[in-house]
Amino acid sequence: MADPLAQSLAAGATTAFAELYDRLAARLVKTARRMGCHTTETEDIVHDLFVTMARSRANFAAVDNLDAYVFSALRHAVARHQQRRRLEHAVHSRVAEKALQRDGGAASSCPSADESLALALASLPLEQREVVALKIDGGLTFAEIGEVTGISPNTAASRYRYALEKLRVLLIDTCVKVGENAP
Amino acid sequence: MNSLPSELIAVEQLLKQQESDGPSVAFRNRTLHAVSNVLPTDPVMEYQSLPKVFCIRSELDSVSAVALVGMALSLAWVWVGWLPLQEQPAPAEIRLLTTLEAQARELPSQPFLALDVAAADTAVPPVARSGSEEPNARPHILAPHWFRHDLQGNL
Repeated sequence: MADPLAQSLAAGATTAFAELYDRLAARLVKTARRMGCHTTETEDIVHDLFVTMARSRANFAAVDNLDAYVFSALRHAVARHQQRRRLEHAVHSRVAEKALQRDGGAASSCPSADESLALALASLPLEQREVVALKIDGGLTFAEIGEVTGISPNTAASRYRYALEKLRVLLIDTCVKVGENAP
Repeated sequence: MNSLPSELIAVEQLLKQQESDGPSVAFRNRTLHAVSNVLPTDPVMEYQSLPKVFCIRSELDSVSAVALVGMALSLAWVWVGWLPLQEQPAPAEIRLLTTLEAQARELPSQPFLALDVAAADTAVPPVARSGSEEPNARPHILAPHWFRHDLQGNL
């Protein structure tokens, strides 16, 4: 069944776009950031995303899952952005891997947990990183992630699991004590 | 589907606890302002202003209806009056017959209009034959020949 908010968005109601912003903007920004965008880039992407959606608002009339539709649009926007700076991203990934491998056992040179996590995430393959971002920051189900990324829910769950396993190994190597904050 | 082992759940918790600032209020205002600029009009405001438009139109209708009916009647009157003019010959086809002779020559076969023009032109009144320089002017009357003969007979 279609989301009633989607119908208001298709009609071009300004209040509907404000409601959509309040519902998704924070999650969109965090997801884009987790996918590897900088803070300022993330805000530009989300800003342009809302303007683009307002221009092509007629498409909302045929949307069944509004969250999946918006996150799918975000994924495309991030992909376009990252395509523009692919070389820079590749260099960033190599630097991150080197940083993780460098002096892994020395307590004095351990980075903070946030830094270690960011570096570990940056070293993940793009497919795994976007599944982690959509699950953790976007709050989507595996079915919705599958809809957004064009894969099956089982594949999305598998990528998520592989990503967590790789992160765990990388964090252990960089002296982050995984499990100390777990319930 | 999400039956993760405890060590992976710990990684998941670590990711969720990672600090990440959300968008600022200024960013919200800037984005929604840009969105409202893209949207042509506010459909809610458009809907609310609809009865006002209808009120204005209903007031105008009562005033303009009389004017419209009057205008329609005027056009009908002009059209009805213009139709018979279409049956009249065009001005170029109207030939001006200035003289009685020319008119008579045009219609020699019409018995009721044919005049004995030659006889009329050569016939000299008795007064002229007697020496008067200026003959009496005959009346130029377009009339049937029997009527003219009656007139000549009377003369």
